[in-house]
Amino acid sequence: MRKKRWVPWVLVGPALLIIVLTTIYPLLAALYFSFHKYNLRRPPQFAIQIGENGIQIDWSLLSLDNYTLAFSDSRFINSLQVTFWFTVISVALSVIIGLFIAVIVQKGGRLHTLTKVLLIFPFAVSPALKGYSWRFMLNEEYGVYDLIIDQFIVGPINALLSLINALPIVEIPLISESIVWLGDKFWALFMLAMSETWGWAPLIALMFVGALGSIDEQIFEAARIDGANRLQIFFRVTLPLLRPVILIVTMLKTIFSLKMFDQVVTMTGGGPVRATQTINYYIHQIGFVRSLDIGYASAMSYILVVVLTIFAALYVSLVLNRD
Amino acid sequence: MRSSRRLICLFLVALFLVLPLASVYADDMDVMDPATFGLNPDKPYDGTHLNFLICCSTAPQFASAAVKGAAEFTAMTGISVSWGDLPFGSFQEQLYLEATNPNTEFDIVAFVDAWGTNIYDFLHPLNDFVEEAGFDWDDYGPAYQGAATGLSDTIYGMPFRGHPLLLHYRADVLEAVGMDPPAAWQDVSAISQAIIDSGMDIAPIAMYYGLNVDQNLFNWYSHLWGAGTDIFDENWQPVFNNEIGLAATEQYASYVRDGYSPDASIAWNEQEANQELVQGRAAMFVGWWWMASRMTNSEVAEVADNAAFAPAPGWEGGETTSYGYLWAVGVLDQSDDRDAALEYLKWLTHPITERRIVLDASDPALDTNVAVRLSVLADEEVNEVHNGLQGVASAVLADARTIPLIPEYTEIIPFLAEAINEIVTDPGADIQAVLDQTADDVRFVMQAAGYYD
Repeated sequence: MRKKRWVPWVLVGPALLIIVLTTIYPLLAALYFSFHKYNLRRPPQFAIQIGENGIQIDWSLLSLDNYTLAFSDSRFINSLQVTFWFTVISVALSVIIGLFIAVIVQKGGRLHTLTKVLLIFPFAVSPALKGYSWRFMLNEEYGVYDLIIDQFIVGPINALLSLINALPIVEIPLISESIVWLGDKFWALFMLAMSETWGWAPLIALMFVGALGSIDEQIFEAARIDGANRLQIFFRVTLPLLRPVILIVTMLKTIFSLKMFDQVVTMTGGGPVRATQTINYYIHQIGFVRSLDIGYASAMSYILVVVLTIFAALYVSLVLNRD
Repeated sequence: MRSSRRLICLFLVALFLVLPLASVYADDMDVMDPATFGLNPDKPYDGTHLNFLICCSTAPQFASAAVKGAAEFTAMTGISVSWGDLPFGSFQEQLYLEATNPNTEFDIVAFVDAWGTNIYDFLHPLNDFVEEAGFDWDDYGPAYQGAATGLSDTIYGMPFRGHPLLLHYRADVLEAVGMDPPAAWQDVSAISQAIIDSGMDIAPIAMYYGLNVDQNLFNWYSHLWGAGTDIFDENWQPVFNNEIGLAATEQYASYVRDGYSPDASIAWNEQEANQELVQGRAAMFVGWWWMASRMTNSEVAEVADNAAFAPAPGWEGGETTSYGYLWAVGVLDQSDDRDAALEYLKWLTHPITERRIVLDASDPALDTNVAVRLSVLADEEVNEVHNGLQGVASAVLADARTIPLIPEYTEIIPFLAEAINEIVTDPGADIQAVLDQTADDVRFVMQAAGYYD
């Protein structure tokens, strides 16, 4: 029977065309722009000209200026630092809290099943909406988080301090000032990471639940027979067995954290000062809001692409090795 | 003889009764007559569909124009218009992308003063349009004229919605401390201290110093200009960090540093600060006049009952100059239906259209006090409907001005906004040092743009 070799191409053709148009072409165009002085305010001058005499290349229009500018731009350096710390905090929180949730909900039962279903909801909330909601909830005047922290953390601590102060031994100042969460450089970044964790930790928990379910119960049974307590079982049996999944979710979350944008716009506006200006936010500001400098924005995007490619390659190799 | 006198009297009485009705009828008739707006009665653009790029089309100031009379315009011209709706936060980006796109589907764009400078090359000049339409350009205040023309004489957009800064305040609170509304920013401090001394459980003023679409600069400009300095000198050198600029900035930061504005105001945007006033937690707020209805419609009775408005404060012994913020409407040069778009602009920015929109308070969702023409702002009937708010706005606009309208200013704005934010978030910040550093950053942008060659 003669194979129709064109059939697979016809079947995957539409998908390939869409990928070329929406991913490959923009990637190549951005790379091309990154070597040019290309500002939306002015008519662009590109090196490759297609005219009556065919294709001509004006090499003088190509340069690495945008790339060298990036590494001397203190705001870009700042955005790299912010993105690094945001990634560290949000990945750590997401994985740790996700693991904690997974351990709690992994057992069977109707309530646990319902909990697992509900866990997916935070991830389904749009990032922009997440940012608006968190900004609202962190408001010092009427925000629910601020209220909870005041009532359940600051309140009891102050009550305890008051009791201690009642003794004529020591005078410890009470925690009187409420924290302006989005007005403090550290807390703004931390809360931005928390808003991300709120969405991601449940999803990661579900991934861990799947991984936990695949561990042979006999391994835990053997550990118990050997006299291990719960903590020992968790740290010496469960965690090592989860290591491949932990690595995979860490890589995946890192890639997404490096791309942080939406919540910065809706929650912090990059502030206070520049404390939450992530790379993507800064690129957006330069390219589409402030300078309209598409060439420079493209160069910075490519620097981010290089970083993301490294993590993506690690992620893919981890997934393949696991399989 | 007597009967004829009676007849004349009866006739005059009847005429007196009927005339107002006739005028209403005439109004209705006039607005359906293309000649009233200078529109072409032959409907040369019949069947044309226009796309209008604008933000926040559900906000009453915009929605009112989108809804009220739109059907009448279509009936008169055969032109239909779709209003695009984008959130304010993403509008600037979309505006630039559409304006610079030769194949854009949009014909008409709304733009904020500072944003317009980046798309002037893509807008159709409107000087001839203004002349042909018979519009009186002097019917707009100097701030709006400047914002619509940039640094040239070319009119890039017609003033459409404009905002003076007003002091929104609680009359009962000021009365309780025996103070008049502040005429100067220094009075704001004095009143604030009096409110604190009185022991009232209310923040004296709600400021907005957060980084949010650069809103923390609006009142800073008033301080700077009022004190007698500016962003740039005549040679485009930054001067906001001079001695006067320092004093103005110190005064601007003092409201939170001295505890008159809540600590949280270092992260607030304009809306959040306004909420403090509307919900009864603050006594004063200085913001755009379109927000006035929020206070008068507040669900907190003591706020609504004591809502009062005055011109934004000035500088003690100096000027009362504030920022007049303009939304202009322009026609894209690349539009295939440019003439039809100009026809729409003629109706949209016509004084009759503007007056009718602010006079109609029948639907709360579309009720707006926002007008831009001085003639409409001075209109007695309009002022009657809005409790004299337009009169207050007129007084502010007489001295209002606009920001430096150069393309580079959109690059400079974040430096300034971040500097203000840094000064208020760090109580120990050296204001002079922060301003000097910012001036260096601004100078770098201007140098790169060739202003000092």
